[in-house]
Amino acid sequence: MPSVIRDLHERLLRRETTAEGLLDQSLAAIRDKDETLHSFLHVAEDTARAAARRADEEFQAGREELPLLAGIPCAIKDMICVAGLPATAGSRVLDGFVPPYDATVIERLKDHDAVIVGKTNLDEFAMGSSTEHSAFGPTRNPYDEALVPGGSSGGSAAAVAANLVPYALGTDTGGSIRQPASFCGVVGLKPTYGRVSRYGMIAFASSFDQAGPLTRTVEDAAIVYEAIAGEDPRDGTTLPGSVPSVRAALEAGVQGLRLGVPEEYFAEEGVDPNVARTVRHALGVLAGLGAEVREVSLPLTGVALAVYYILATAEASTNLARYDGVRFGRRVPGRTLDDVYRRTRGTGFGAEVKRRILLGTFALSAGYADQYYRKAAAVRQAIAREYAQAFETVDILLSPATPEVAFRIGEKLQDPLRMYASDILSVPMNVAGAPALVVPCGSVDGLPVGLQIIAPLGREDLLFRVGAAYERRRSETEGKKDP
Amino acid sequence: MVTQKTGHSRALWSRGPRYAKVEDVMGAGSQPRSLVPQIADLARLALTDDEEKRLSLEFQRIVEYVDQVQKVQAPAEPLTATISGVRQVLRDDAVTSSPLADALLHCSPETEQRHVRVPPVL
Repeated sequence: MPSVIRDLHERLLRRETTAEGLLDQSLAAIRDKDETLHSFLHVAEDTARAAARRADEEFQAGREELPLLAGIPCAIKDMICVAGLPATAGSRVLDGFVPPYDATVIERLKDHDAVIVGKTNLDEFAMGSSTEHSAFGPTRNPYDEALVPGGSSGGSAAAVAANLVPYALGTDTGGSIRQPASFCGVVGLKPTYGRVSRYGMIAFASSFDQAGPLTRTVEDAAIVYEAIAGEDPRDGTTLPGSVPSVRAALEAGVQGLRLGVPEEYFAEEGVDPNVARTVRHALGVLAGLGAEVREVSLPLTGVALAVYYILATAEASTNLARYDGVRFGRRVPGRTLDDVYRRTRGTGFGAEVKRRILLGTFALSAGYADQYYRKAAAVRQAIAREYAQAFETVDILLSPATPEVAFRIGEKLQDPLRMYASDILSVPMNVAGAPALVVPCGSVDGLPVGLQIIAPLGREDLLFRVGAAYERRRSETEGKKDP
Repeated sequence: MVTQKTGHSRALWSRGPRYAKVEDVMGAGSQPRSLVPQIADLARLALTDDEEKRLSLEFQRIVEYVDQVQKVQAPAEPLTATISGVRQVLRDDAVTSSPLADALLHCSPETEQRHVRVPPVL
């Protein structure tokens, strides 16, 4: 698959198009399709046009070595602060909040002369797997409007899949980039924990959250990843040192790589046999390219979702304590300060956020913290060790990205545990901190299926090696169906 | 009884007698369903009666689900255990000022003379 970003860059260099022309195309596509899709919460035409004109000046000046992202439109999940644009996190509790600063990832995109078209829809505070938990209404799947696009970065995935923008940023706390990428047939990357700065990302669960790209091709994901990754003095959890380039890995092929297939990921309750079959076919393709495929066992896989729902909600209950009507967003008046807190939070948060705050408060409370929080923290370390051990015998792990293809809007909304189970195959990587890439690998009943590629900590290069080799082979043999 | 072993929980409970410990109200090990009003109180969440009823049912099912972590044998870890390793990050010990102070203050729903204004505490 030729890189969409590289192709646009070359057209800009040859003056076959302009950044403003690309922006106009994007805005026209949004006008045309987004009334139905509802992938954007805010379109920032004025600031985007100013950025596009600046990029066009750079191209006209013939500046050498312009960044690949220069002048190319993109969309940002509304969980990431962009100075001067409303930031909602999909919640009423942030009504009226306009951050005065850029997240580090936004600063880096702007350093690359990117054109930010707008902010995309999401489940409230990134808590959900369908975007149905957005306070502003759900996003629809471009493949079938009766279906969810996945979540929580469903707006970003749908916007890329429907060709509204060439790429978007999402955030992934338990699968929120990879599950919607899989449901919408696009590429999604969750980097290693610490690889991308969280400064300016609205915090959900700080020891799990990572931002990453949603794109149409693997090379595009590599280009955006290299632009946003790297140490940041404003986020002490970022990994020190320079980020190894992944671009060379795109051409390296899979000859001789040891690919591990964790049987648990195919056998989990709820994994659709048709999805499993489609992913196994992809494994066969990789074997045909010279990779060695081996079975491995990760017995703690099944418990990772429970670990996640204890630790992530505990972190969320503390992170979301700041939304109390005092410093930003909504304030519901009350006689005392305590009334303000309770009423603001009671009316500002939606049902899913309340569920998670309650669970997290419980897991941290005296009398239960040892039984839940500390126990889950210990099991988390055991899961991380299990992954580390698996990577002693294989280079990469492969699995389905999600147990099933996109489901119907409303299908799981009344049953939180069924909704949570949608992330059962993506959550373990956030628990272990490992990087993972989702690449489209076929379809079931006309709906996209995603192959999940998992690497050891800090080895994004291996993800791109496998992802690019697979994508190349697939486009040679099958082509790719657009929505 | 396991209480206040961590600085984390101590801070949570040190805000005065109004916010009772969950176990004082219910007794440790009681059915999680009945805890929802107390937990909502701790989390400063006003819930309607309908919300409380629905969340209580869901909460019980979710706690039953996450309880499966109890079955896993795993050695205790320090509370500071992280996935990415810990490193000390310190900036220079020098006075700095943020150019954003006024802009951030401006985000508050109500301010007065460069202070955030709120109703009385009591």
